[in-house]
Amino acid sequence: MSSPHAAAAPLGHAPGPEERAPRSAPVLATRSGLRVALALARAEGWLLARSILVAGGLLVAALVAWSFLTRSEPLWWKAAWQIGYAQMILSAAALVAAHLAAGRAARNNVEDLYDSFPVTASTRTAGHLLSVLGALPASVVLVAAASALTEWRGAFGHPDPAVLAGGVLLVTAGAMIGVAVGRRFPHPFVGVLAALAWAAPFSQSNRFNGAVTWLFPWAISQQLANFPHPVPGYPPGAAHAVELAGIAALAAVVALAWQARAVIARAALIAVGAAAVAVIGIAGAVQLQPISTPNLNRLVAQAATPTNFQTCTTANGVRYCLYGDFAPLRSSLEGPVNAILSYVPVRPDQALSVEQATGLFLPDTTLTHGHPAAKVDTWTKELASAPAKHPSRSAIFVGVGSWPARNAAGARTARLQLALAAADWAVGLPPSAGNLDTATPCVPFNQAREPIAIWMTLEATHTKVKGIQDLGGGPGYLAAPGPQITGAGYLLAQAMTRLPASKVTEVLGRNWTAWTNAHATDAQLAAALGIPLPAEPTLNPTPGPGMRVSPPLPGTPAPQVCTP
Amino acid sequence: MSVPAVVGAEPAGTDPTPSGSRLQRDRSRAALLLARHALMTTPWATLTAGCVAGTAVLALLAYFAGTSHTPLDQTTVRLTLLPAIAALTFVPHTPLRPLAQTAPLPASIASATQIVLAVPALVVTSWVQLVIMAHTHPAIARRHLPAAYPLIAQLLGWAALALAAAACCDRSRYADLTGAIAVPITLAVIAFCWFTPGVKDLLVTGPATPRTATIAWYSIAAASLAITAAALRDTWHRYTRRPWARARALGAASAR
Repeated sequence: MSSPHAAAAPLGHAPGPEERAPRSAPVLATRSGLRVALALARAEGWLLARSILVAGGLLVAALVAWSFLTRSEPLWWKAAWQIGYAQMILSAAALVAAHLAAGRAARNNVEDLYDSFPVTASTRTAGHLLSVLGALPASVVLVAAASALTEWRGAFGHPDPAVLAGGVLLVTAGAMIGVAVGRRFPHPFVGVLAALAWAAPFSQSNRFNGAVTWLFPWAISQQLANFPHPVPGYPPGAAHAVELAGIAALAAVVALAWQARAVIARAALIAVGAAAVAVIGIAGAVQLQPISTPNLNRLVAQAATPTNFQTCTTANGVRYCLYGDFAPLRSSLEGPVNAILSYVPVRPDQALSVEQATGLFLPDTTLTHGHPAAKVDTWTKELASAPAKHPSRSAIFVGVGSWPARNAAGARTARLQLALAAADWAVGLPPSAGNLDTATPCVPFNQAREPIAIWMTLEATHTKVKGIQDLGGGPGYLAAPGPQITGAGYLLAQAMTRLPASKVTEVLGRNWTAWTNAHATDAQLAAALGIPLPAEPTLNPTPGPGMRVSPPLPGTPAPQVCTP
Repeated sequence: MSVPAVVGAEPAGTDPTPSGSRLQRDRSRAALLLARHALMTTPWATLTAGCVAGTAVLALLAYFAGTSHTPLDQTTVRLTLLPAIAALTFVPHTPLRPLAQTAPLPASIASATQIVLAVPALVVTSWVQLVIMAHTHPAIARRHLPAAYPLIAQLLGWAALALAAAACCDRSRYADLTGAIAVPITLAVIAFCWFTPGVKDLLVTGPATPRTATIAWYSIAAASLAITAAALRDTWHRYTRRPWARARALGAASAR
């Protein structure tokens, strides 16, 4: 390692031990060292920015971001953390790339040559540490592109800058760790192992319970999709960003400590390292703090008594109740419902309402840790009284966080499910079965109103379905499903779609009240339409894969038939 | 055919065209020397680190699985075997390959021997990890665990993909960074197979039936091993350069 005196010597001149350094040598050494560190940082940063590993990581991260962000409703309080998923990929790639750069000299066996240079190894390490800025453009581009995508899909809420900045800090920390490891262990596989170790807690965070998962480099709570509004302190975004900054600082200290020989340098590094550890510790302690009781009270109240927090409007005789941030959602809900209403000659007595409901899950210890079990029980009981937990003949409950955004792949299925629920209401079938854990949806066994509802859905949404599973086999976009679908009713509805719509409408309109009565049978409907009955109705005790609910376990009673 | 010089071999003597038995003896001796060389140059530390690191992580997860009563599954084993697969990419690498090519035996034999030597380490690691995973389940439930044969086929496919990527990188301008380049490529291909709609319907059990996934992965493994064999037998490094860089270099040369 070069001495400070050697650091002051001009480039290419190796001073002998007998040479005396001028008095201003430390100052010059500091200045030239800084200059060299900046020059090295510029060169290495440029290499890092156009590294094939970083570019590949950015590509994979972009694909991951696209996959997560286009899958569900774009809620900013969830999307910002999902963008961090992608940043984690980029962070691992930056770690490997920075490790390869930092270990290049040792791998090529030219460290002795570098040691003959008039700058110290610490200066070169500092250059490598500063060069991690080269990975930041990729991270920033990823944040910008993912944010633009989220906004383009009609995001609800506002982004949390601390969470987005945390993603960028995640990449920085990864690259810093790469430099720290690479300066001591230059073998390429060590960088790969470090990247896998860095990403392992993130990939397995679902196996850990409690707030400890916030201490991992990155984690996300699936509960975020159930929140109608962001909850302050859940997840603790700002504290997590500080923790990542502390990890980055600690990695820098470790990287510099490998080569520090001078007592002053070591003492300074120990002090900075201790400060970094303190910052990490404090940030960790803040993240482990329980969510305040008023915030949880409000969250539970929003889920249990949504009408107190929702804004309700009536359009075309239908009441739409949505949480504050979700007002723009109304237009996408109105479309399928109005399409069904255009086929209904006489509406039921009870007006239809379409409401949002949350799937809040309170036994989640990341949410309720630090609160007494009795209080959690009280909240759980309060949640059980939520409207969506009980059967309803006039309300459709749309799950918060599950409704696909415009341009999403599931939009067609979501429209179909909402239209079918509205059609169920129109023919007198219960559109919401309540809590599936305690109740089983009824079966409209041999009831003409079932094929009528399915026919209206297919006609109103202009949808061609390949099988019964297309009506409800996919992800559930409604918080509570409607009645089960029978094979006979589905086949009869399909046969009805092959008839002219005007003919079916005329037959139904002639005696709508009778057809929507539970006593009108499939055979009567088929006879009135002049078509053969495609299949004999059976009360299927074990619903097949096409049924919207899972089959009952052996030994359990058959589902109830839907009543008038 | 003249006998090339062999490191450590005695001078050929006065007869420049040795008899068949002499040639056979020389080759046997060279093979013996090469086997020792392959054994010594196999990256045991890297391989061991990869196998142990993944197994240690799995053991840690198994500990937490016991405390949280959430047994591990084959997906976790797939994840914790990735370090071992990554380590495998550092195996088929012959230092000083141009020199090795002057030996009387094909230079690919050294890499092939290293691969064969690494296989038992991978097999033992997979077996240990499957045992650890099984022990997170109650004794009565272990009989009903999903069949392991699709997992074995998948791991074989991953290993073959890793070897193919490493062997191809070893014939490229990135030969000095074989594993470091091959690992991200392998992981990217694995992720592609795992997440891409359509592809995962064929390769991932769940959407795919165990039989379909097994056949698909064995087919991939066979194709990858064929590519590996072809790359190992190839004697040339591909120092590909970008067209504009090549044109600039040519221009500079002509200017001189």
